[in-house]
Amino acid sequence: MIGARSIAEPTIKDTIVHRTDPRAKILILISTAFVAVTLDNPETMLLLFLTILSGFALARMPAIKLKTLAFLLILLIWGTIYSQALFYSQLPRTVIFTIIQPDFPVLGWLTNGGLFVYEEGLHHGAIQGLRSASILSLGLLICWTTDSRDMLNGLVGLRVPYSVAFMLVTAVRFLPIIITEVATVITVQRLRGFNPKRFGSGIIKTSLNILTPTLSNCVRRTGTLAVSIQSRAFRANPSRTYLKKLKFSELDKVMVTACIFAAISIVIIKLLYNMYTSGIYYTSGLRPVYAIARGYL
Amino acid sequence: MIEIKDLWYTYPGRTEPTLKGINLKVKKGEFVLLTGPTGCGKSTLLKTLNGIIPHESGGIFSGSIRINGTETIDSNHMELSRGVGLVFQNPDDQIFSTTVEDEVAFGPENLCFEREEIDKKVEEALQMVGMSGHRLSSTNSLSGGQKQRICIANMLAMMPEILAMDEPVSQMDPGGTQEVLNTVRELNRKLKITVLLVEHRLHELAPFADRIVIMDGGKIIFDQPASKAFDYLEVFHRLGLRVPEPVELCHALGIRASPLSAREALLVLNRKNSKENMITPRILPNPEENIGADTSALAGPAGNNDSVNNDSVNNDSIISIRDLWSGYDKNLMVLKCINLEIHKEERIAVMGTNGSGKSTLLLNLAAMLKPYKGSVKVLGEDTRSKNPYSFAGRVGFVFQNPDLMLFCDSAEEEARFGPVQLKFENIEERARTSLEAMSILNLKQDLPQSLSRGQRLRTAVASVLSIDPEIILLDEPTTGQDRVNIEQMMDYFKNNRSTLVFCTHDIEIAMLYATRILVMNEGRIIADGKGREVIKNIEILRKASLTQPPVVEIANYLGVDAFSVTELVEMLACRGSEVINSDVINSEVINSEGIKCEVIRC
Repeated sequence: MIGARSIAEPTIKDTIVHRTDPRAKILILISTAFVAVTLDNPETMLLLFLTILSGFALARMPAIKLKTLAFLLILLIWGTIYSQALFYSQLPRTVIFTIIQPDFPVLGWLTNGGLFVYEEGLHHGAIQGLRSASILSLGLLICWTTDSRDMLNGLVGLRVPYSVAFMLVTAVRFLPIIITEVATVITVQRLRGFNPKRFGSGIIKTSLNILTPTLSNCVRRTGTLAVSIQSRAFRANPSRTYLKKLKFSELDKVMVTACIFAAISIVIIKLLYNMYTSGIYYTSGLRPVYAIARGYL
Repeated sequence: MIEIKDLWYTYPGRTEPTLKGINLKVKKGEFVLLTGPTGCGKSTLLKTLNGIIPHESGGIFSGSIRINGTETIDSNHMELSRGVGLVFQNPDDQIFSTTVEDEVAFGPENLCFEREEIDKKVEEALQMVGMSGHRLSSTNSLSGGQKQRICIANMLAMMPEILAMDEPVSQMDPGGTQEVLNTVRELNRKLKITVLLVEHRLHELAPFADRIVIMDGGKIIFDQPASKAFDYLEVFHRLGLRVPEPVELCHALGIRASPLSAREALLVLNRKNSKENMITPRILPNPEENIGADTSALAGPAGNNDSVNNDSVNNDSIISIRDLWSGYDKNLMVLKCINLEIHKEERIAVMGTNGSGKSTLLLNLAAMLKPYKGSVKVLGEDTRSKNPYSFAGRVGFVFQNPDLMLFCDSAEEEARFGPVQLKFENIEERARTSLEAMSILNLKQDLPQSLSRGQRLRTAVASVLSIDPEIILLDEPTTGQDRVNIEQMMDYFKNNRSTLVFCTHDIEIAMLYATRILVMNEGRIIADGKGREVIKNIEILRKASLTQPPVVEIANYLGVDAFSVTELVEMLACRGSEVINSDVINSEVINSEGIKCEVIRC
């Protein structure tokens, strides 16, 4: 139960990743998200993913967080690859393994002509999996290396309204506590002989049994927190001052500029390439650009 | 400073008003202790002071509250917030920043102070509460007492004129409680900050207050200076409020005085004229008849059942712990080398500072945590190979926060839930008996979440009792409870000869109900024995941030071997003539607080 808290809370250290301005981190995350969505090339995608993973080494993340990351990534990548391999619907597609034959009694009919693993599905799943994994990894790296107050200031610095940023950061702050409480609720109920159901109709009762005490406790806590922050003049004035001033270092500027430039370039190149492949626009002067897009993006 | 006139307030959706015609005046710099039974409206009254009621809450509000001459109903809630700082029971529900500095700076930042000024205010506030060395610490690394001091610093950084505190020390160990209360008292004296403090632990807090105000049923029924309040002892007894032991002692001895500490009591006893004041001690009630609300009788909580606690204990060992090392991280063991045998029908109080490993020990007993090293055998089964669910129905666990245990639509359903799941017979009977035992049978149709905290805790206990487990584990069952509730619950366990392991910071309750006390410090058991044996060892108690109950301190100085008010009174009664005939030996001794005082030795 305590593990849930140490996983979710940031680990504060003095590394280059930790020192990066939260605004820079948020901008890098947004740029990376654009790049990840735009890319189709599995090798480039893998390179992006590995680059992001190297951030965890730079940030000297503790083992418990690395284990959590590994678990989430395996679950995400394997789940995506497997589901895409089975349910890939585009053509052409190459069957590399048959799970259910089309003429298999009942199941063949139920699966609408059998169940197969497609080569193109695996390929597509790998790209999708790496895409999601890259964004997830970078998001976690930012959350695990940024103090919640710095994150709040970073969001405000990026023109997010203070109240919205405060609510967002506070919700994240209390998430691990809620996870701990859910675990407690389940254990308490099982000690009273209840067997939580994960499947079937019993899942509704199980969910209600868990949600009722967890939510009511959240409501109580929220009430206390609300009164507490109101007592500290929250939103008493249209603006506020800050004790800490965020410092956008030269290195931050370089990193953000590079990321934004790279993201814009990749998006534009892919856009031009897609216009060419769909017959909307072509010019011979852009042939090197098309080659880059085809070969690396 | 504060002037409340004919204040009535009804929460939205309720028909019965929570506050009924409150009239109260508090002068600048006063320290007022506001107490009363659970659900009497104390917390509601605090919320009216900074305008949360009615500005944020809605509901029906009438009457007048003036803070420094300004009517709260006509003022902006934000402006009121600056003048009245609110501190609540659980610091974890109030702290949201990860560092102390950020947390304390939040208020001044909202008030748009310049950066240099915020910096200065943060430093000053932290200095006031003795936490300036923790400015850059993570809020998660602080103890409960330190966190609560940060909550106070949060308010002080905004320099409020009034500090309103709602049970700020109810979850703290005695050491932390003293730290926080000394801090508040000092602020009150030095900076003339007006303090309104809501608390059940009257017997511990009374020495800090200038004035004691008691509420009951939404009304103020008592308002006296702290020095005179206990002259009206019947009011406290009638409402089931705990009275400081020295007061109980003096009243039992017929001495017309209300000392609030052992030192004061010794001074009273030492007065020459105490002989003239002393009358025949009144006959104390039979401890076995002294159950529930009637325990408000003269003897007080610590006075009735040492003999019962010495009941012969069944020798069947039902919990056996050998060289237990356990924790949440293998690099940071919470429990270290624990060896323990628990026998059937024992009632064991586990005491110690916050973070000493009490709750972790209970989690191991319920098989919810596994040993990293060593073994835990519960009912003959090694917990390492079992999950907690295999003990369902045999081990009952009540958490400190009852809210996590309540999920049914009525208190009765809560009590029925366990027996139904475990397919027991006599379900109705079990539910009725457990609800009755916890005195909530009349609330059986009520939604558990809508009950008061004390009632919710008793509902959670009833939900476990209906299963009739062989071992009952209670984590801090006395937190936020008034005396009547605590005694009703503990009397049930005592009368039913339950095997009970409970964590508590309340040494008087431990002495009264436990057949054995374990004292823990930094994950180790540093004392294990009958209450009388443990409580004699001042060094052990000090290590665990515990102190002897005042009556034991007094008995020590009087050279009497007594552990409760009853025993001390009986011994003094037996030796009454000797006391009167003996020469009063004026000797200077230094008590545990290092205060010199004169005592009578008989």
